[in-house]
Amino acid sequence: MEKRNLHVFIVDDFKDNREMYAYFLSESGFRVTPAADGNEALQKAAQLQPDLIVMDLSLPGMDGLEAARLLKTGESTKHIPIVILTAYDLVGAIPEGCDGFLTKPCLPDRMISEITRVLDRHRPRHASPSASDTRAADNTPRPGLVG
Amino acid sequence: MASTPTLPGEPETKTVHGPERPERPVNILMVDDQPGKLLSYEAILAGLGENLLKASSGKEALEYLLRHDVAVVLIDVCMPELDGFELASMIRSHPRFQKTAIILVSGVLVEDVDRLRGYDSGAVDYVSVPIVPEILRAKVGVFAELFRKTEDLQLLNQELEQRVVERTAEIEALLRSTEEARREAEQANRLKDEFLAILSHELRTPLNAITGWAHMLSAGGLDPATQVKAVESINRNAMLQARLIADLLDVSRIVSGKLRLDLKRVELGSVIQAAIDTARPAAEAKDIQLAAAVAGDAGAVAGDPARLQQVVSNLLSNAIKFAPAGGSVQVRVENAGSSVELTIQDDGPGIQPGILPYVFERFRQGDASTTRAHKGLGLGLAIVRHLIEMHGGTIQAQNRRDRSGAIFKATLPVSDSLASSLSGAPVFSSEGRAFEPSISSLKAMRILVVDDEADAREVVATVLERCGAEVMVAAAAADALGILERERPDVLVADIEMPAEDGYSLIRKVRSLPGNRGGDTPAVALTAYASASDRARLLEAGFSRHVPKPVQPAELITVIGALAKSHSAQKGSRETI
Repeated sequence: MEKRNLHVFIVDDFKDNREMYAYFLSESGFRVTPAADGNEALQKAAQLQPDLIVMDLSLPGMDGLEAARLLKTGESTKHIPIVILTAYDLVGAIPEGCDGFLTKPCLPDRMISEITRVLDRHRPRHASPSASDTRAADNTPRPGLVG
Repeated sequence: MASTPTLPGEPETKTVHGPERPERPVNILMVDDQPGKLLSYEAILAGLGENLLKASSGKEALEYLLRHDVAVVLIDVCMPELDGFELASMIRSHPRFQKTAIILVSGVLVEDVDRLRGYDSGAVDYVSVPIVPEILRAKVGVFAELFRKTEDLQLLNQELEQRVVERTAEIEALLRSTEEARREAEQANRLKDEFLAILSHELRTPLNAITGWAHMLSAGGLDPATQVKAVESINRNAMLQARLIADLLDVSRIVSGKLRLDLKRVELGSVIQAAIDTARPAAEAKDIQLAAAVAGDAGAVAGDPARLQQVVSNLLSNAIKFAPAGGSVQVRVENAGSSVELTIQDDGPGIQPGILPYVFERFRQGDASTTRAHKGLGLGLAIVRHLIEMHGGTIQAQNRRDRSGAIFKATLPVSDSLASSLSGAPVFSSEGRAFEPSISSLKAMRILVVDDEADAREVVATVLERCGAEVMVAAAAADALGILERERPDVLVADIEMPAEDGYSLIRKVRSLPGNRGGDTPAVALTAYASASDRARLLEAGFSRHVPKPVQPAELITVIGALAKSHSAQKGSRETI
């Protein structure tokens, strides 16, 4: 997939991890915006409209789940796919409303493949703006939308 | 039988001390308007040993009854004003007099007596005139006994009820404490689960940065500046993990009693400086002012410098963690008489009152949720408390009064009181062995101590002197040999790891001497290497026993005491042969 100009948020309060992923993603052709907590992510997401948000769960103040919930209910942000990233054992349960799931330690390659997978599922929206008009009525899975 | 005159309104009480006086005499009230008849009743009933009371009218009898417990009322039927039947029915109908028996003295009006019986199941009886003394005595006696038995029964009943109440309370208390213990166990279990979740999270977080950068480094293509950054990040996170693991191991050692202190004379100033130097980067990252004030007269403590630095470092990193960006952390060391006081305060939010009692507990953190702003395992303060207590000190946490912020205050005994604290093993070992060597357990014993380290030598010498021993010291094996031959000490205590000539060499030379020159002096080896093969090697070389370093005073004293005893016994038996 074409990564150029795809804009990804990395939300993690642990600076070394944030920087590591940010570096690798930008080297891989993504546009990256780092955020250190949920509030910052919410603010910047509404403003910058990223293509995807990678969200750590353990964040100070507002945790990643709450931030994800607010993003998914916010009118201007609910279309943005969210990939959860956590060092906790969530035994594979993808939190409701989230689109992808990664467990730390997570190699940057693995993150890119998850980002790509999730973006591919959402591609129709990006590919054709008119898709949003039919989305509400169309409940059948589209071709290429892999579960 | 003499009788005292009856006072108006108050019937005469007459206690007769007969030969078969019951243990608890009861009141018998005799009611008759004719004093002569009262006298004759009294004469008949005197032998019962009960309290005999006289009333000359129904009214007087009622007044008395209202004030006293009466077992039997003996009533003459024919009385003016209130006659016997009326009096009897009044008594009978009153619930208070249920236990009181009534005996009517009358002609043969049996039907009326039967009618009265209908009032109540209580005892109503009659004796007919002329009175047969034996019958009257027997009837009154039986009723008096019945009254007593009823009272006993009531008492017993009350006691039983009381015991049932007490027992029930006991059982309820037991249930409550069982419930409490169960809740505590559940709570401990929950804390452990939470701790494990946090542990995996805290270990994986730095691991993530390490593996990520390592992967990119091995894939190649990083520019030099990024390579440097990558390696720095890997180092930093590996150190972070190492710290977490060290903390875990420390806690494990503390729990299993394997943590040992290497005691020296320590000036807290240098320990604090070292801890502050280590903490400075973290403080600078948050723009936190680190200020230390060490009083010149603070005094030295007896401690393990590395462990004391760990204490200060943990307290500092805790303070830095909670202080706001741009805030300040202050360290103060002051003399407080026989102790040195270490205070570390921050200007963070302070400690929530609900958490305050638990801050030094393992696996406790202010917040175990995913939103917790403060990372870490929550072991730092638990380790601090254990280390401080092993040094014979105490630590307290409180909140600042002048503004928000937490204060941690540790006190450590000053080095002058070193000797006194040395006599108690629990101060030195987390094993907390309950052993207090007596001050004179090594009395008059002459001991040679060989150790190249002055501090260690001084500690051992102080311990032994405190127990009454005469101590000679040597800083090297060569000196020791000379002193041994010249002074002929009872016991040799030698460090193994010495430069130039070690303890093995020394003991071989000692053992090569003839017995009359000290060749058979019992010897104790002090060594940090205490594996089974080390021990075997020590014994083979000629040491009698070994004591692991850091030395636990109680252990050393016990070993030396036992050694000297068995040696002198051997010597004694040799001499008698």
